[in-house]
Amino acid sequence: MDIVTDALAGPFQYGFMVRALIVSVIVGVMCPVAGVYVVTRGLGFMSDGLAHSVLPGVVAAAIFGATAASVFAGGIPMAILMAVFSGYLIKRARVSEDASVGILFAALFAIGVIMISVAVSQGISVQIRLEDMLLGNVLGVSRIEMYVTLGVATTVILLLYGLHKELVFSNFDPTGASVVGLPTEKLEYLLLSLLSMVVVIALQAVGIILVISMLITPAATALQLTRSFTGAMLAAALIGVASGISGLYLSYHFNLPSGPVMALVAFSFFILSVGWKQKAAGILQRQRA
Amino acid sequence: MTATASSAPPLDAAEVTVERGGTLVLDQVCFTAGPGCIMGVVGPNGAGKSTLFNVITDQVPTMSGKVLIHGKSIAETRGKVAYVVQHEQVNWRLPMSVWDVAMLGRVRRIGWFRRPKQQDREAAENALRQVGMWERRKSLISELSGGQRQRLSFARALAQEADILLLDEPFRGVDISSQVALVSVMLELREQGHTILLSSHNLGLLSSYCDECLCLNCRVYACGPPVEVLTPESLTVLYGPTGAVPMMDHDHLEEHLGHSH
Repeated sequence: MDIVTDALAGPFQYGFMVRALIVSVIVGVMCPVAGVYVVTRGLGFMSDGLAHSVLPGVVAAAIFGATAASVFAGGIPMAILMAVFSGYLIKRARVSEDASVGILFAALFAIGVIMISVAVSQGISVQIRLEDMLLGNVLGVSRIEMYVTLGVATTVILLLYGLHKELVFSNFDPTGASVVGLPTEKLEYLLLSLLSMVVVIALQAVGIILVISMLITPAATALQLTRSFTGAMLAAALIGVASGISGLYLSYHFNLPSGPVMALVAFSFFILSVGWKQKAAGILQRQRA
Repeated sequence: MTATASSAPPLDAAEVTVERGGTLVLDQVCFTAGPGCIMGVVGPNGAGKSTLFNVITDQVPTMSGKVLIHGKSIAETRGKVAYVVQHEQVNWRLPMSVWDVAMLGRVRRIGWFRRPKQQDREAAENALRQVGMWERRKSLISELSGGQRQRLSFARALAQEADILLLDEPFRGVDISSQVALVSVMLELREQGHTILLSSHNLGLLSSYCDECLCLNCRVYACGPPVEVLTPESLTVLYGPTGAVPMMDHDHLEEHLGHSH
C-alpha cells in the first residue's frame, strides 16, 4: 500500500510538480474541448500553423525582458494577429486555406528560429530555450504562468460555452446563419483567436510540435465514441486530463520528457477507441445477421 | 404559424440590378410574390437565380433597386426569410441530432449567451412534426437521406418562424418518392400562407404544382402561371433551341399529389 501511495503522492512533495500537475489538468481540459471545434471544422493544420507562428513573438518578448510570462506576452498577440491575417489572405488574396497557413506560418517560424540564433550570437540573454519551446517543459512552469494559464483557460471555456449555439450554427450552415443575422465572419475570427490562446497556453505543457496532439487526438477519440457535441466535449476533456496526468506520472517515474509521453498516452487512447468501435460495429452486425 | 395579413405583399422586388466584375448579373428584376404562393424560379445555369436569392437575403448588395419584405426593408425583417441552401453547402458531418438542427432555427430568438426556453422547444417540436421528422429527432444528421435532410432544413426554417422560404435546388440528389414527400410538405406550407420561392431545373415538377413561374436569365423574361409561362416558345428563348426538352410529362407526380391545387 505504501508503494502505491508513494508512487502517487511522491512526486508532489515538490512545488514544481504540483504546478505541473495543475497546468496539465487545465491544458488537458481546455485543449480537447476546443479541439472538438477544430476537428469538426477541419482546422487541424491551421492550429498546427498557429503554434509554429508564435515563436517570433515569444522570442521578441523574451529579448525585451518579459521573462516569466514571455510565452503569453509575445505568443498570444502574435497568434491572434496571424489568425486574423491568414483569414484575410484567404478572403481577399484568394489563396487557399492550407496554402496560406503553410506560407505564413513557415515564414514566421523561420523568423523565430533566426531571432534566437542571432540573439545568442550577439550575446543577448534570452530566457527561453528552443528545445523547451518545441517540446514543452511543464516542469518549469512558474507560479505566474500557472495563474495566467488558469485565467486564459477559464475565459476560453466560458466563451466557447456561451457562444456554442452560434458557433455551431455558423459551422453547420454559414449562409443560413448569416441570413438570420449572425455575424458569421466575426464568429470565425473569434474562434481563431480563442484557438490561438489555447495553442499558446498548451505550449508550456507539450511544446509547439506536440500541441496538435492535445488539441486533436482526445477530440478525435471522443468523436469516435459519442453522438453529440456536448458528449464529445465531456469525453474529450476526460481523455485529455487522463493523458495529462498519466503522462506526468510516467515521465516522473521513468525519467522521460513529459510532453511526448502525454502525446503518446493520448495516442494510445485513440487506438483503443478505434479498436473498441470496430468491435462494437462487429457485434452490431452479428446481432442484425 | 400563418403569415400576417397585410396589404404589402410578403415579397416585392423592384428593379433589382446587380453587377459583378463589370457585367450585369441581374437587370431590373421586378416581381411580386403573395402569401400562400409557390413560385418557381426557372433559368439556365448562371442566369442569376442564386444571386437573386442572395439579394433577397441581403448577402449581395444591389447596384440599384430594392427588395421589400412585407413592405419593409430586409434589415428590419430579419428572420422572416429562411434560406435553404443546396445540401452540399451544409456540414452534415457534425455530431448533431435532428433535434439539434431544428433548435438552430431558434438561435436568433433565444439570443446571445442564453439557453432555450419552453417556447423554443415547442416551436422546434411543432416544426419537426410538420415535416414528419419528429420520430427521427434522435437520429444523427449524418445518417439521414437527401430527402430527409431537405425536410429537416424546412423544419429549421419553420422553427425560425420564417414565412418566406427560399429553396435552392431542393430536389437535387433526392429520389422520386422523397420528392413527392417534399412537395406535399410545400403544399401544406402554402395552405398555411407561406411564400415559397424555389429554383429547379425540373420543369415537369415545377409546372405541376407551382402557382407562378419566374423565367429569369439576367432579366425577367416572363412571370405568371406555369401554363402561360412555360411554353415551348419561352423556354427556347430562355434555354436555347433545346429548351423545350425538359418539359416532360408530369402525370406521375400529379397522381401522387392528387388535386391539391
